Amino acid sequence: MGSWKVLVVDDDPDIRRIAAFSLGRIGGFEVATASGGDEAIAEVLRQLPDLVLLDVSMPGMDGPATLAALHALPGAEGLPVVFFTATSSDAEVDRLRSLGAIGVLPKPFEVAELPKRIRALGAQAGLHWDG
Amino acid sequence: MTDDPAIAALLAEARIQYVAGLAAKVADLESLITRGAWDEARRAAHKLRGSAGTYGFAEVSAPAAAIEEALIESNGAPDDAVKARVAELAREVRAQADVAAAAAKQ
Repeated sequence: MGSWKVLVVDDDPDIRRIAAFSLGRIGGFEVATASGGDEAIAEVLRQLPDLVLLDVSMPGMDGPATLAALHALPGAEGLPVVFFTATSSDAEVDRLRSLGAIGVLPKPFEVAELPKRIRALGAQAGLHWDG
Repeated sequence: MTDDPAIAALLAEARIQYVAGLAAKVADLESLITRGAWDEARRAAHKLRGSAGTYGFAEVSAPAAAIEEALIESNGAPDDAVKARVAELAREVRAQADVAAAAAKQ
């Protein structure tokens, strides 16, 4: 596997832009973006990413609903998903992990640090980095 | 944020672009608060909290976060004290966004 393809899902275009910048320009990931759950499903069906970075709080299909929908897609059952959320309580982090996420990252996030955090979580999930 | 000058320059440009749209975001938040659209105001404050903080404007993110938290605690029906606090915090968001905009022009 070369550099990973990461799908960033967030309804806020400012967050999509800075996350794509962080992961793509700083981290060397291949990055795709989606503005919500429906777009995320379409993108995963078009080209399966290695990992999804998924906002929790989105209008319509929220992060947990999107995760469930993605994991129900054929071939995407084990797709690694990392939530990012402004909520940092231990109970909420535990709840999000229990839904099948491999990690939960805080938002706001540190632009220079995000690629390292994603790489570490991906490695824990069994992804190998050759990028 | 980064030691690489090329990346730092790109990041600085991204921050300038973000600040260019910040006044409109703050105006939207102020309008929602003025209209008493508390659920929408909470969501707008939530987005501003996340984006401003990520772009490096913690001084804008902090009062936005306080607005979000005050509206969450009031379960969508803030009393007069919470409304006054939210209005005060919105003025702080506006003031800090104006400072960021002025700094970006220098």
